[in-house]
Amino acid sequence: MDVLSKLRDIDTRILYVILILVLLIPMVRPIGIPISIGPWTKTSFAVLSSLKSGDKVIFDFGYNVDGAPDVEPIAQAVMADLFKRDIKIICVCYNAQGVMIAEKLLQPYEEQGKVYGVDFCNLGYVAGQETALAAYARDLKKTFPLDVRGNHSATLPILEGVTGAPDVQAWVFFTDGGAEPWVRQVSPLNIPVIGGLITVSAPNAQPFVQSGQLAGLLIGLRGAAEYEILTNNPGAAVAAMDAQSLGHLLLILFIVFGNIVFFAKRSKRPIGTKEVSK
Amino acid sequence: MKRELPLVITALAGLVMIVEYFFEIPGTSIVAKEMQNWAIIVAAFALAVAAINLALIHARNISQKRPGWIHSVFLLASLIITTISGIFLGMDSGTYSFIFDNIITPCGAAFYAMACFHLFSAAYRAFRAKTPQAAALLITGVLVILGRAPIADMISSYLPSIADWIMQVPNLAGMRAITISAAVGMIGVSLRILVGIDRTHLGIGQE
Amino acid sequence: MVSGRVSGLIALLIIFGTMMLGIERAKKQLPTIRKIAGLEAIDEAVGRATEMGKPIFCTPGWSDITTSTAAPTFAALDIIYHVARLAARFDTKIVVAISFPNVFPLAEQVVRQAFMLEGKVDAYEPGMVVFTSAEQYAYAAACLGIIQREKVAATVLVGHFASEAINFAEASAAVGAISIAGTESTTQLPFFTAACDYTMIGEELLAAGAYISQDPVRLGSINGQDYVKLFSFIWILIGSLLTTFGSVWMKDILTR
Repeated sequence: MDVLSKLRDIDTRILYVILILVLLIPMVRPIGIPISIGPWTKTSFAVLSSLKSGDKVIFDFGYNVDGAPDVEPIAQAVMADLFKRDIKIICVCYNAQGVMIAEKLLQPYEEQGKVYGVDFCNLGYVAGQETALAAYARDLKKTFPLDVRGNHSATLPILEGVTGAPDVQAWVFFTDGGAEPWVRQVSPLNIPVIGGLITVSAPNAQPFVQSGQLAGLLIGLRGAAEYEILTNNPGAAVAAMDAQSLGHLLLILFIVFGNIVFFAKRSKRPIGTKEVSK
Repeated sequence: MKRELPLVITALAGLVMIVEYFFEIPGTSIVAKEMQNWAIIVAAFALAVAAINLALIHARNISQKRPGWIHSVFLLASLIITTISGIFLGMDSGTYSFIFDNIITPCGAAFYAMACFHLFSAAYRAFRAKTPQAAALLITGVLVILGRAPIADMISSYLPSIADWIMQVPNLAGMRAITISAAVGMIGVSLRILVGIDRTHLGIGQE
Repeated sequence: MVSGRVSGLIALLIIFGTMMLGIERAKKQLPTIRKIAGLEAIDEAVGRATEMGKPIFCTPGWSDITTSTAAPTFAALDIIYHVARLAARFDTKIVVAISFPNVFPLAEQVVRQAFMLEGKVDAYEPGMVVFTSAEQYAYAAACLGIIQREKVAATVLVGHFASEAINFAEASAAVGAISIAGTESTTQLPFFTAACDYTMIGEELLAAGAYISQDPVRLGSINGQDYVKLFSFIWILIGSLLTTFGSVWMKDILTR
C-alpha cells in the first residue's frame, strides 16, 4: 500500500492521540494567547453590569450534565460576578437535572456566608418544560409552593414582592438546547433576558438578539472566558482558551491535510477509474 | 372500531389543544390542562414499559450468556441501584448524590467530549472538496473556525469580522430558509396526523 | 381570541386550506415530487445489508412525541416502517434504537406491522426494537455500542438529533456502514451533510412518508404546502422591501 493510501486510511487513534496532546499541553503549560471580547458578550455584560446591589435576577437552569462542560462555566462566571456585587439570585430549573446542578453551584457561596432564602434560593423543578416555564415566568410562588429544601416559597425573604418575571431585574437562562422556549415565554414579559448557550446553538439564537427579544447571549466556553475577563475574574474558562485555539488550528490542519492527500491520490489515479474507500 | 377509535381520539385531543391555544373559551383550558396531566401519566407508564423491555432484553442476554453479557450485568445492577436509591432514599440522599456527581456527570461529560474526537476524525476523513459546492462549504467552514478561535486576532484582525459576517448573513439566511420550510413541513405532518391522513405510527393504513 | 395569536390561527387555516386543495387536485392528477436521494438510497442500503449478512441500524432520533420535535419523530417512524418492510422481505436483521419511552410502543407497533404485512410475523423479535435511555448520551452510547458490536452494514439516522449526530455518523463510517441521515435540526445538518453518505435536509425528511407511499392524498398535501412556502417567500420579499423603506405593517401583522 503506498504512502498516500496509508495516509488516507490512517488509524483514527493516531489522530486522537495528536488531538489529546495538542489540547493537553497548553492546559499544563499555558501560552497566554490574548482573547478578544465578542459583541454578544459585551452586550450581555452591559446589561448585567447595570444591575445594582439588592437587585434580583432569575437563573434558569435548563441544561443536562452532558452539556455542562460548555454551559456551566458561563453560569459559574455570571454567578460569581452577581454574588460579588450582592445581587440576589433566584434559581429555577427548566429540567430535572437542573436541581442538582444549581445546588452544586450554589454550595460554595453558602459556605462563604451567603444566606439561603435571603441572598439566593433554589425553587427546584416542575415537569412540563415550556408549559412549566410559561407558568413560573408568570407566578413563581404558585408554580413552586415549596422550594427544594422544603420551605414554603411564600415565606422566603428573597421572594418578597416577587410574583413573576416582571418583578425581577433580569432573567438569565442556561441551556444546551435552543433559546426558543424563553423567547416565547419570558421575552414578552418585558424584562432583559440573557441566554447562556452551547456553541452549536448560538447561530439559531442570534436573530433573537438582533430582533431585541433577547438582551444578550453568552456563547459556550469562549463566552464564559470573555465574561471572566470583563469581570476581572479569570478562571477555568480563560485557562481553557489556549487549548481551544490550538484545537481549532489542528482541526483546520486535519481538513487541509486530508484534502491534500485526497487530491494527490486522485491525481495519481488513471483517468476513468473511481476512488475505492476503505 | 379498532382502526377508527385511535383516529377519533387523536383528532379530538388535537382539536381541544388547538382551540385552547387560540381561543379563550371557558372550560377548554381546564380540559387541556387535564389532558396534559394525562400525557404526563401516560409517559410515566410508557417509561415503565420501556424499562421492563430493557430489563428483559438484558436478562435474556445474561441467561443465554450472549457475547458481552457482563455489560448487561452492569446495566441491570446500575438500573436497580439507581432506581432504589432515587425512590426510597430520595434525590438529596448521599447515595443518589454520589451516583449523580461521580458516575452520571463524568460519564455524560466524557461522551459529550467524544463528539470532539469524532469531529476531528470526520474532518480528516470526510471534509473533502470533491465538488465546487463542497469546496465552498470547506472554505467558509475554515474561515469561520479560524475566525471563532481566540487566536484569530493574532492571525488577522479581519478574521473575526469575516467569520461574523458569514454566520450572520449567508449562514443565517440559509438556516432561516430551512427553518421556515421545516416549520411548514412540521405543521403539515401534524395536521395530517390529526386528520388521520398519516397513520403509520398507529400501524394502520399502510398496505 | 387570545391576543397575539390571531396571525398564527390565520396561518394555520391557510396551511390547512392549501393542503386540502392540494389533496383535491392530487385525486385528479398525481403531483410529482423531485427525487430525494436519501430515500432512494434506502433500497441500496437494505440490499447491501442483505448481501453482507449484517444488520441495519435505525433510530428515530433523540426526541419525544409530546414536544415541538414530534413531527420529525413521526416522519422518522414512516421511514423506519419502510426500512422494516424491506428488511422483512429480504430476511435482513434490523435493530431500532429508541430514546424516549413514549416512542417505544409506536416503534414496536410500526416494526411488527411491517413484518406482518410481509407475511413474516414469526420472524419479528421483540429485541429488534430496543429502548435505550432518555438521557442524551446514554442513548448515544447505547447506539454506538450497537453499531460497533453488530458491525452494521447500514445506518438510518432520521429524526431530531442533538450533538450525538456526529458520533453516530463517525461510528457508521468506522464500521464501513452506508449511512442515510435526515433531520430538521439546523445545528446538526452540517455534521450529517459532511459525514454521512446521504442526507435529507429539513422538509425532505418530513415529506418522506408521502414520497415512499406515493399515496395521492399525502402527495397532494405536500404539494399544497409548497404553495404556502411560495406565499411565505413573497411575504418575506415584500415585507423586507417595505421594512427597508420604513413601512413595518407587514411585520406588525405577524405579531397580532
